[in-house]
Amino acid sequence: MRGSRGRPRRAWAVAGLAAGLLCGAAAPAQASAEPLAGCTATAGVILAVDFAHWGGPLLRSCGGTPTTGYDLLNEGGWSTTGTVHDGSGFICRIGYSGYDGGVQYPTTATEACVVTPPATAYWSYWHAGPGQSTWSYSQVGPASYQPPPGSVELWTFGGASGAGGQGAPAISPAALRVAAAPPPTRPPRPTPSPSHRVPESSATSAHPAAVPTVAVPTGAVSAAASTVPAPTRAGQPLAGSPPAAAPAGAVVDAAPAPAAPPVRGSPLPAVAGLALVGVLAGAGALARRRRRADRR
Amino acid sequence: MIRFERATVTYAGQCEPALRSVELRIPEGELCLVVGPTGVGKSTLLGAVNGLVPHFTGGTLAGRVVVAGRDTATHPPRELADVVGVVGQDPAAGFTTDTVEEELAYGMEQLAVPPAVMRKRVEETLDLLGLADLRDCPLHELSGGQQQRVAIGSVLTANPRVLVLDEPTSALDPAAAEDVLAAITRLVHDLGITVMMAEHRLERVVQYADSVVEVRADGTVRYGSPSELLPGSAVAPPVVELGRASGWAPLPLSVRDARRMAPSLRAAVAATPTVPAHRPATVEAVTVLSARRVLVRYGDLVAVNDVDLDLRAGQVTALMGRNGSGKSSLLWALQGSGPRQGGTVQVHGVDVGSLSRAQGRTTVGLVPQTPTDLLYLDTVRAELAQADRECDAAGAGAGPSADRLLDRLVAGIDRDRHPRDLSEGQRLALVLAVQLRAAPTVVLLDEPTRGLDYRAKQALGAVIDVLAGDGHAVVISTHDVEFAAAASDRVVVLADGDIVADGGTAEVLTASPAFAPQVAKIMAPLPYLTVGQVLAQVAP
Amino acid sequence: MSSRRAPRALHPVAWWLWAAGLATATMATTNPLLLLLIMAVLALVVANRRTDAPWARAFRYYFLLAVAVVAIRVVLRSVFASPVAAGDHILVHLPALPTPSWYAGVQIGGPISLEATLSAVYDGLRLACLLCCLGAANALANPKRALRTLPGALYELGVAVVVAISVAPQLVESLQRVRLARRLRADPASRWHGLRSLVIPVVEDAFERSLKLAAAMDSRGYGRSGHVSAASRRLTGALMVTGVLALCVGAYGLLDASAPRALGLPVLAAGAVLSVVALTVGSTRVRTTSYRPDPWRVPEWLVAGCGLLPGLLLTAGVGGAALNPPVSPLQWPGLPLGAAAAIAVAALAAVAAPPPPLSRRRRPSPARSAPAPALVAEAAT
Repeated sequence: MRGSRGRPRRAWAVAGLAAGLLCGAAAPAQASAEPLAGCTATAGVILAVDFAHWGGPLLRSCGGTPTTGYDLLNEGGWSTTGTVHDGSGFICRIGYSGYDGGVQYPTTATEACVVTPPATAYWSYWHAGPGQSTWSYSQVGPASYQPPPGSVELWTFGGASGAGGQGAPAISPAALRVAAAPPPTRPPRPTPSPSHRVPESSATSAHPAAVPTVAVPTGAVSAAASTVPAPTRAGQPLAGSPPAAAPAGAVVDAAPAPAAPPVRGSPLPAVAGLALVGVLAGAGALARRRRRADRR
Repeated sequence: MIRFERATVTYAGQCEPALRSVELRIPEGELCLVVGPTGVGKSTLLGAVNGLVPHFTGGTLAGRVVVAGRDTATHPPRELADVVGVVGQDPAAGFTTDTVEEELAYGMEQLAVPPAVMRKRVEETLDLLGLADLRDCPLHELSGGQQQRVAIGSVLTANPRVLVLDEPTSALDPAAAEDVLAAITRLVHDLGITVMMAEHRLERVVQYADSVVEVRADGTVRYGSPSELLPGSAVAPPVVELGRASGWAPLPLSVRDARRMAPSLRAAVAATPTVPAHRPATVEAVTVLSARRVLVRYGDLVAVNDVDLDLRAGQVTALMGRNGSGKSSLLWALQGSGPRQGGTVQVHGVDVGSLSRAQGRTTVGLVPQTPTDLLYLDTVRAELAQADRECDAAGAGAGPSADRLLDRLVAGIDRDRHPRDLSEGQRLALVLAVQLRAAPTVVLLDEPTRGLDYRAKQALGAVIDVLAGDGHAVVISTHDVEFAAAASDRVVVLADGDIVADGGTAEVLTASPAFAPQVAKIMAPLPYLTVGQVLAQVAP
Repeated sequence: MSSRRAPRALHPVAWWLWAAGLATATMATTNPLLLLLIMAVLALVVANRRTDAPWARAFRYYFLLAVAVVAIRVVLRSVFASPVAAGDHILVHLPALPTPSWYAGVQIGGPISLEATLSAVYDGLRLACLLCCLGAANALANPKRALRTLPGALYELGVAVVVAISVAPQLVESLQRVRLARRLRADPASRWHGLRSLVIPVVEDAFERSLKLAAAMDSRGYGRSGHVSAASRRLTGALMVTGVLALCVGAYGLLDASAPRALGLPVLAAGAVLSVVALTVGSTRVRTTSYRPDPWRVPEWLVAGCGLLPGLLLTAGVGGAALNPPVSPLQWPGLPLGAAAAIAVAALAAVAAPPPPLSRRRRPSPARSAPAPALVAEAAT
């Protein structure tokens, strides 16, 4: 690192850069998000995020390799938020610009994302390597993991632990692979909610099998599914008696979408706050000088 | 009031008892002085009054000690806190609070005195001891005399009947010591408190004492009035020694009494004393250290203010002055390790600040105020060996080894003892041996006489004579006028960082009444300083 | 600040409550503006209301420690870098060190983004603010007087802590003296010897001083206990231990989300009740009185209140989402007016508390025999 003489100059440069960048917000270009067709058994990585905890679907998208788990979650319309304590490396919220307007779940009302969320309610990270049919709990964070081409990544929310496979996702990796059998359909629920219908990416998808869009069940069911998931074995047949932890929604494709424009906010409150801090600190310094003068 | 009935105290691990079969009856309202050589058991006797011995220090007490009707065997010290007040040697170590007022109130709080009574007693004690304008002062900012008075006040507020003081004036300059002694005598005469006091420098105290307890080397004690005991005692102040030697009866205890008997003695001696030949002038008076415009400053406070000083080989200089006048700062600046903001100190033309530590040690050696700061090994033998190693590494290996030096200073120290177990005088001798191993040209001693009895002081005086005879320049910083009179050739008086007097011992010490030794006051206007000088004239 | 009011030292518990309230407010937010506001309020009140005693000057050291904490966090977050998303603003590129596969969870080096730095700053700022709260409480309230307000049953514990507090400056003085004395010996020896020659005299000195202090306190009546039966003592002890254990279990139950509900608040309450009972029972046997105890009057209520107010309001969530501004995506932090106003109210303590009693300016007394080497050592270091 540079010597101490360089530090004050660099501090000014940082401040200038930050101010410039924040004031002129521009949507950064997407990286290597790909349409779903680009993910085959030997190329591309499939990303799946399960929003069943809030009554949403399981969104699936595709990304090109080489990439990291973190990059997958931050391209093509996906965005994440980390915690203040751990940095952006710990995924606290996930959102997709094409789903619910890009709102990141869990919302600020339920999780402040200041410290690491509790083990009963967090985004757990599962891999299935190319050709594997069972999920394995990730031993490293998304920023450090580079999925090999043809693998599937899954993010589920709820209580899960790597030991004993507790809380393992009920859906199997094969169900998520595009080239494999089409994803299982669910009996349609009585009240379809059109807002959750994701626009079919027919323009970009050249896949012959149509991916049915299924309406999302009502909130009551999702509430039931939000209890602590019972331990399930990965790969259990989905037909038949559905386990309590079965995803409430169906699998929905999420095409690369433009990222939601970042909300920058205005610098005015910050300036006002710093001014207030300066006033108080100045009053303190004045008191100190007066005390010193009194002593003479 | 205080009764010792065949009390014998034996410490754990010792085969000989520290006190043997002590029988004492001290009545109420008496100022009792406890005298004896260093390490003989005076502290043990005083501790037994309070119950600290054996409840706190361990050991076995056979016999009984009864104070104000309470037996110390059944009453631990805290149960005796309302009848006995104890002030230790180091009052600052016994302070538990921050300010004077809180310290005075602490004892009463422990005794559950009601708050209204506490307020009243604190005010009375402040007035009694003259501390009223110091009431909010933090304790660490007080001078030594003030701290001593606060310590006395803090035990007085509990209204004890007995006050026990262990060497209250040892660390104080003469003026502060007078303040403290005046306060104590006032307590005795105004309040009727029984006071037991151990003191080495008897010349200040013996005139006020009603009775004396002499503790002897074998652990037995003798009790009687001063005029009974002091003639036969091993330790005696100069006035008593002079009276003994001259055969005066009744033995005078104060300067006034002695002057009434002195005219015949004054007539019998010559007008000026002969210079005793204990330091033959075999070395020339070469200036070895010359200090010019030495300035030592701590922030705003100037400790040594542009002082010029020359030290000559073979000359013993006494540096005197009240506490805080800059004596220690000057000595450290002369050694070279202390801060010096201005001026030069040169030994044989080389500035002491530019010397390395090892070279500095062979040029100017200093024995600091707390000699034990230099000792860190487990046995005396290890310390001496380490001193030898240090000096060999520094290239000053020639000369007698530290072991031989120690024997020359004080004989008979067990080499396997832990240095902290030695008596004050023995510790001082050990540190002196360690520092002298390097045979420095200039030897500086910072308050070496604290805690030494007369005999140890005589021994130290003999050592200094030898050093001077070998050609070292010696500087002793001390309060003790008697010691300065006996050991030094030259006296330098510092006040507020300036030298106010610099001359031969006789001329400086007889010039002011406060600084004069007892013999000088008795023999005034003849310039005699010590008993030895007088006796040399009388019995040629 | 007005000269009409008589100077008086505020009850130490009032200052501690004030600081505790601000500390609670700190824990409820990561908004840097609010945290800086809290630190400014602390500095203002300390500058206005601290005394001249040596312990009252400690605030600046706590502040420096706080700044160091933030700096360390930023450096660590930068070196063990957070992953950089596409939209992040990169500040500088560090060379990335490859980590072995068994250490794959950690990434060393790589680009440093503004988001990562800011998240480190926000996180460190919270801890820094807590440290400043602690420093302010220490600088405003005399720790020894604060310990005197402990209930009677904890009196001996309080005295032990008071004595321990006074040991530190004595150790420092002793260390300076011994360091100076070591220069006189000029030993050429190894570091081990050098360290030993420094540590042993200091430790021995400390032992001797503590023995003298213990003897002095014993002689002045410390530790006189009334006549209490052994059964009563055992009862008090058992109650106390059970109460404290229940407090610990209850606190754990509250903080751990997966513990059963019954383990949280009820057990905590039961523990508090038991502890209070034990303290009252234990206090009846200790008989010491208090000389001029600090009164608790209107200024104490005001100071404690204006400190606890922001704590309560911020914990209750006044300020909403702006209490925790997100770092990625980067946003200007908002200033929730309610929360800011509540924190500004805490600054009123500078006016509500009476002016501190300042010592009369004394000439530095050419003090006792010991300090000259200590002064020398101070100036030498």
